[in-house]
Amino acid sequence: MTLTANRPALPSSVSTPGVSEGAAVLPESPLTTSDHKRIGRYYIAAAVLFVLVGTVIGILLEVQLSSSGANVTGSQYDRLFNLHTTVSSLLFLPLLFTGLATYLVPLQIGARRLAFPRVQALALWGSVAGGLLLLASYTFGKPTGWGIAYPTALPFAKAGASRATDLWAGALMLVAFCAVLSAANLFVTVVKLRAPGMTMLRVPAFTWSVLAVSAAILLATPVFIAGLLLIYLDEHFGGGLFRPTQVNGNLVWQHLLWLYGRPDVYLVIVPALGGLTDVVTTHARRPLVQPAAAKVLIFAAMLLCFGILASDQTIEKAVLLPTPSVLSLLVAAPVGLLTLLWLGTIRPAEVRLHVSLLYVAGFVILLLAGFVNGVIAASQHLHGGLTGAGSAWTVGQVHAVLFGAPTLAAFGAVYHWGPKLYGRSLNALLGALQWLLLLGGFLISALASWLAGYDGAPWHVTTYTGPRSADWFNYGKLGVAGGVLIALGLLVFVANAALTWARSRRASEADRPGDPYDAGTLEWATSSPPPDQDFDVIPDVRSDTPFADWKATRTPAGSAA
Amino acid sequence: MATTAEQLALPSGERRTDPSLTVYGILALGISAMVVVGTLFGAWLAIRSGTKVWPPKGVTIQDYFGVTLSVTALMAALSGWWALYGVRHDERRQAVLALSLQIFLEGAMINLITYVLQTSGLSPRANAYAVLYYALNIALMALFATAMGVGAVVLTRVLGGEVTVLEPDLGWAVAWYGTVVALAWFVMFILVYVVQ
Repeated sequence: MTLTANRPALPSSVSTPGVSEGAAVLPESPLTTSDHKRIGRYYIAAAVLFVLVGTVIGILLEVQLSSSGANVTGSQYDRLFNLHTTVSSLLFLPLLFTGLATYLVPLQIGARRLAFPRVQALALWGSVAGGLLLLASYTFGKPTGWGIAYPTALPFAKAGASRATDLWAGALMLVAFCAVLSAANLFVTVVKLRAPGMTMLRVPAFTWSVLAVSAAILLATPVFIAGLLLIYLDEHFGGGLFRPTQVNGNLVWQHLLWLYGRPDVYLVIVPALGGLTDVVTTHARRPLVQPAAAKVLIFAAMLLCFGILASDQTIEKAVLLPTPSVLSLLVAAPVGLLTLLWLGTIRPAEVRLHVSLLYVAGFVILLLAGFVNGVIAASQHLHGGLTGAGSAWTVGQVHAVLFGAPTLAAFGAVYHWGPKLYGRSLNALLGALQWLLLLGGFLISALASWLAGYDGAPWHVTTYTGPRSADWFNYGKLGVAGGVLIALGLLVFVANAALTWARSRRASEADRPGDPYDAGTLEWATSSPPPDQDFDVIPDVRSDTPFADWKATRTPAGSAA
Repeated sequence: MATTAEQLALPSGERRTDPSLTVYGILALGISAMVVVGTLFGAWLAIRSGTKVWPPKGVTIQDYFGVTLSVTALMAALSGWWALYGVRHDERRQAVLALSLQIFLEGAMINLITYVLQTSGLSPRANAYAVLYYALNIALMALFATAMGVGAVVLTRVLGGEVTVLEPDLGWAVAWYGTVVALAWFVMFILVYVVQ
């Protein structure tokens, strides 16, 4: 029972809002499509391809740190490290969540399209082009240094013409600009295209989180664009803005990068929270406990991400705080409270055991592991240990908390909405295998860095030296094993998605249920995958489960009423 | 068979697109554009506070150019609102004229900023001041270029009869975006030409 029983053509009496006559002039191709569902799928595919590249580079870096025999030179290592951080942080989770949002937000709010569909296509292909240019920068000229990995030092050792740096900065500007376009599009879509009666408090949690994160991107990413413009001009022409002798040059670079970089790496948690809230609510078969509070917590997480800037005391003229880590830890508060709401919602007897719930558990496990390590590191620090910034320990924390947890959340969302994305559910067994590989990979990879950090190993070094380097190399080998598991997990997903998509195209309508979970939100009110116009008719929304309301009226009892 | 409106227990929420969609989109991008320019202003002030001689020796700020640019930016912004007036009062000729004028003035801004850069004697190779000066001007030129693009699209739509008194949303968009861009220029004018 859906609002599009058999994927019909749009009735002639119903116009597609906002699609002008001129829109039909351009042929529908991957480059010019205005179908948000196709664009969303392309986004997801691009993100997975980019993270595969980033993971392979990460494995190479771990291999380098696993033995004394250097496999790559220092400059090559710098470039690879820079690519690993930029590709993994800017071209995977942001693109993956943007893809999910592009696909799902119009469906969840009862819209037939995005506010500006062709702008989204432009943002997609601009991001892909930017990512490819970024990868190409590796092959050009001098190294780009540590880049955006950590702004303790100037990004480029020497000013002067470096095609690699030009390309790197230009590519990132393109990616960042496309992120702004996409965020503006999604923001306006949520604000202006909601179905009648769908108030902000009635939008599903994922859409709400997309709204929050889009607002944050609109404010934070332009700072990065401006910083990259300065880098490009300074590096290309050699004006000396970031020269060590220039007073406040380093300060400008650090703050411009951190104003964007700090919120950005944490902000991927926000759509993860929204997506998983919908996953839990659907499979718990119960409304979320305190849904309004969940929305407040998601929004609070977004706001607190901006405060993390102040927690870094290593940058010049840092914000002075009595306990710098308090702002980092504050982000954990809404995350933890939201997790409690999830637990409060689930009743073991009623819950539907779906593979996406494994990913919810994995998300919580990785966050807990990171939190426990934070506490241990804090106590070590109190006793004179070195586990904070500048230590290999931080790499583990980044891999587990900032990358691993949201990655599991993102794939959990993909498995949950798989029937919509690919026409039918992704293979649950392969999904469980992928979960095992990813969770194990992230834990092992993080564990390697945590142990190395506790043992005193530094971060951002080309190779380990010193009396304890033999132990550190062993941690490097452990890191390689973790990286390989992650790569295998990603490959399992590629295979699973490809198989499901192929089977879906051959499947009959009956094998592609529009509402496989008996869910309440509007994305399940249409067929799988949805037709071009998403919905034949857009219902008047009267609660936060409008599709459940509609189904209730279709039951015999409802009909009688 | 498709579910029709009659079959739905709930009334259909079918409606046409909110006309303010484009305005919201333009404003969202305008806010981001202002953040870019604001960030560069922040960098300017940070570097300025750490440099003893500012502007560096040999750099002459010509108020004449700054004032001319400001007047041009103001006229371009007002032209956008004039175009909106034309659209809302069904005065198509006025709308076309105003939009043409706005595009011309925004082109003139880019032309004059380029001229000022060329005749300033400054090179981005010279020093930090020059890097920031160029970055600010490039950002502003990019904004005016996008404003020209928006104006050209709206002009085409007005000529094609798609922006009318009943559907004035693109008129609002061009007016607001022109204002945001002009505002960005005025902040730069105050910073570079007045405060220095």
